[in-house]
Amino acid sequence: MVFASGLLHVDSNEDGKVLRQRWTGRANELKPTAALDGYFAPVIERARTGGLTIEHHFEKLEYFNSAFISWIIQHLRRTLAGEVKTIIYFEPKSSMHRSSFDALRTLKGDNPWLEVLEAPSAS
Amino acid sequence: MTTPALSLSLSMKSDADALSALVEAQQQVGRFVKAQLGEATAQAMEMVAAELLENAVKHGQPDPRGIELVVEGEVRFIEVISSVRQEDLAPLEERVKWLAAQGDPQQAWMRALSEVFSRSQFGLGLARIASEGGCRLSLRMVSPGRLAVRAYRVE
Repeated sequence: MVFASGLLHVDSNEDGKVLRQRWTGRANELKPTAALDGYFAPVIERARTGGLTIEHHFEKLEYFNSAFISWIIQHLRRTLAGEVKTIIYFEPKSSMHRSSFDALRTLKGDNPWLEVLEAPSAS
Repeated sequence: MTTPALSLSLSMKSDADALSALVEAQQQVGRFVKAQLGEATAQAMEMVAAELLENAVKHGQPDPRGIELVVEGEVRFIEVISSVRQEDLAPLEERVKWLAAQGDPQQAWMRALSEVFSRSQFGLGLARIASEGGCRLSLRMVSPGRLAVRAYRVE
């Protein structure tokens, strides 16, 4: 499955117990919520009913705006409410990634359903 | 020699126009800043410009004067001037006051994110400009209904 809107792309695939989402491009829509929620609602439902983990690979995402950060948080509220294990990978060399995802790591506290991890180095 | 400011005027007739104009303006700001201050600062200031412009679109109303963006020649500040909806003015002023009262911009960013976690609706753009962009914010009316939002780069 693929999501494409403007400069943003998400490639989704199911690999065993993991629903992997690979994000590329630029997330700069002013109102991204409706399109992204429409795409991810069945993903969350599939994960919830099948006991699967959602992995979001943001490490190749070049740019994201604050509306997208708000959407990520809303999405996580839904996955956490549904007790869907969710793992976020980000690019630790990017100050933009670190600023938002390090903060998410702090905010998640000891919630067992969410992990926020630095992506392994490409080199 | 003093570098002249970068001045852009954006005219948007539809959402599609707005998005492509924002991307183009963001890239121009990035090139301008990169030539003077390098890649890392350019990325941060591109983000600042994009968030200011998105706020101008989000809180704006149609105006033939469009949206004006200025990057001061030595990138001491970025300013966006636009027509703002009257009902959005007070919340914007409150938001800038709230940010100033927080002191540490990183702490303000964490508080803003946790507000989104707990209450769902909370604008993140200005808090991001302060924390990730390392800027202080100010607002002023330049003419009736025309608001200037300026982000000063803190060294």
